[in-house]
Amino acid sequence: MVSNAPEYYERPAVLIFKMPSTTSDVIREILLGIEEEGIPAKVQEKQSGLPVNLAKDAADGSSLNVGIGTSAAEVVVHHRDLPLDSPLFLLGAEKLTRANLRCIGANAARLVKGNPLALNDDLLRSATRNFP
Amino acid sequence: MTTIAGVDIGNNSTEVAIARTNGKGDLQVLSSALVRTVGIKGTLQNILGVRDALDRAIKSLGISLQSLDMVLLNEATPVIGDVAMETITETVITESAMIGHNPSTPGGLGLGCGVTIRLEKLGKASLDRAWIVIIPGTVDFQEAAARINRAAASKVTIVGAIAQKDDGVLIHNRLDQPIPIVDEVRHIDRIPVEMPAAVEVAAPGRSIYKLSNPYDIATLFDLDPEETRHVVPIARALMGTRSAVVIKTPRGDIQERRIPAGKLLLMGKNRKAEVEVTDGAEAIMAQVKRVAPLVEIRAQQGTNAGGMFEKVRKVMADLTDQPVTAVRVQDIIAVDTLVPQTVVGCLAGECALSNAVGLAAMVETHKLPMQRLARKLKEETGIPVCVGGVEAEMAILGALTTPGTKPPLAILDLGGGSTDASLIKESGDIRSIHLAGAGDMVTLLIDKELGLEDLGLAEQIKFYPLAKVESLFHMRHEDGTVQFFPEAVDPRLFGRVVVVSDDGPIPIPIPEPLPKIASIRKEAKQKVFVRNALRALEHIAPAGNIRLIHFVALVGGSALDFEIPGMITDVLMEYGVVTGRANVRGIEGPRNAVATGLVLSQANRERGKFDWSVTHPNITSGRQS
Repeated sequence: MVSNAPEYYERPAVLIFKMPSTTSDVIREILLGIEEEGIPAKVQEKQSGLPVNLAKDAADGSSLNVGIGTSAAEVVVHHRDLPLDSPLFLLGAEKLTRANLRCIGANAARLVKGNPLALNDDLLRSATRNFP
Repeated sequence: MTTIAGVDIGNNSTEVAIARTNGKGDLQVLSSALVRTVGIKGTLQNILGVRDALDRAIKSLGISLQSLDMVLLNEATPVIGDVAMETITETVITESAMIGHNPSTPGGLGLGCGVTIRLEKLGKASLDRAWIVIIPGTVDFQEAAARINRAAASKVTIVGAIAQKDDGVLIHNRLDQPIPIVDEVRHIDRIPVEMPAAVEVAAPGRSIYKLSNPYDIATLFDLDPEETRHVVPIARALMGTRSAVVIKTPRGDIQERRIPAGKLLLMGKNRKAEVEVTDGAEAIMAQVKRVAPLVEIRAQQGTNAGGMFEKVRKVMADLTDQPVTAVRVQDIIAVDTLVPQTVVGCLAGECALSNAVGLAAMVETHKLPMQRLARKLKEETGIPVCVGGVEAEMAILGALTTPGTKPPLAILDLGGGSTDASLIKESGDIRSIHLAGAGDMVTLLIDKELGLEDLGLAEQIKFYPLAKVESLFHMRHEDGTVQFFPEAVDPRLFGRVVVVSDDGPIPIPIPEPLPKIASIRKEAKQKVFVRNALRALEHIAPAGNIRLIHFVALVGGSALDFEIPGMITDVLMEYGVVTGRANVRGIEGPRNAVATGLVLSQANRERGKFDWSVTHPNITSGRQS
């Protein structure tokens, strides 16, 4: 039955799992960032879960191994190979500017492509581990 | 039994060897140490480094500094080198005439040829011409796409676009009719309107095809032969880019200007020569060879080379308490390079490769004030300090402790500031030479050719192999080996080419691919060290014939490099010379040759005769601390 599952035929995409509280502007900017880098993305609404869990689930479910989880308060970028509690980026509500959201989208796409990431202080500080 | 210490103060490192002798010439080396030289070699500051090195070496022996019976200081070769770069060409745009750059994500595909127009004027554009739209950053991509679609629907022909922000793909994806779009053009306001222009975007993995060919530009803009000649620098600057714009302005002009870089005056023992730096490295080195042996070299004042010459002479004059006029530049090496430089008057920060000449110079005087240093060291420690042994002789003596060597032997000392060579014959006669150009010049070439503006990073690139971080958890080394990380990498490393240093990977913040960085590194080493190895050996070889040298041992800091010894071995193979990295006392590698030579010379003195056999038998090696 695996081969007949509808997902099997789906295009590979970066998955975005969003809580209903997420504003449409947030999703729009993230999608634009991914689009400019030429990578497909797909949005699904989830009824419960923390953004970090959503992001991890999305990454696990994406054939590109990259997922994003969003709520009104947070945006998280995750990768299938990363442990749940250390996502690549985690941005709080006060950091969710248009530019940062585009950047988050672009970086999710670049993570897929293996290209160097576009980083700024907000994104670097958001990393859950401390880098020297 | 006496305990003695040999101390070698070099330009970059200070080395120590501690040995015990029985007074009859039997010697046992107990330990050694290496630290960075403090201050310029020959100055009193050096003492800090010397004491540090001595402390380290005796620490492993469990003895105190006071139990040393004598410290032997090398008669340091008074050689200082420095490097400079002269750019000899420069690309200048006098009117805005081209944009050629590599935005990571341009929009669309193909070639469009039309007349430039601002986005807001598109509504009133005439229907009988083809247009290229200029989209300022203030306009949202949706708005831009909508306006272009509206104009196209009312039969306006639009063949291409130039955008200020990084949204070429976003605009393109919302157009009804696909057109090529070049984005990330910073100075979009400088683009003239109502001028013929062409926009080209290549498919991923390709570079532009038409706008990098002068005859295609001539075809598109209907140029006469004279005008075609003027667009050659444009075509050249656009070669290899993924997207480009060329705009024909009435007086639009790009020039490749030659910058006057001054002259070098070479004065040899028997003849003189004057050579223009703009003639390039080949011409300069040919003249250097012709007038050899060189006595003095002068560079024109007001040029980079002139400034660099003044600096080395001043440093040496201060060091030796001589008037600057008494210090002469005695050798130079010139190397041709291509340096990326921002095009003057550019619209998107584009770079064109400029020709440049890298120059290294060397000054040599009779003696460094080592006696002053020796007195001070004696005052501070209370141990007798003695200056003895010419550096080249000591280095050879030390190098001869390498298993598998015997006189006649040549050593190549690959340092930071200069490349030195000496040859010892079976009779014990020694000839030596100091040449300009070594590790520091390689660093400069790497820095300039990659446009890093960071000598520290260039130094790292020189010293360590490269790798590419391919995922969050692994990197692929230059040789193809894959290495996994236990934890995810720093996001700043992801996707980047990195230097694999001892302290972990260091990202190189430029878009150049790994093979290009590696080839620039290798070429810089070839240009400086391989060339200087041959130059130096020709000087000291019997009858100037390298084939008559049978063994060459490499010593000095750059002999520790992971690829330079291999390069020199390769080229000397052609002359039938056995070449390899020295292994002083069978354990030190190419380090500690002079310090070891100093303690060995003491053993020779005790025997009352100069005996080379002291270098081989009965030397018990101490561990390095």
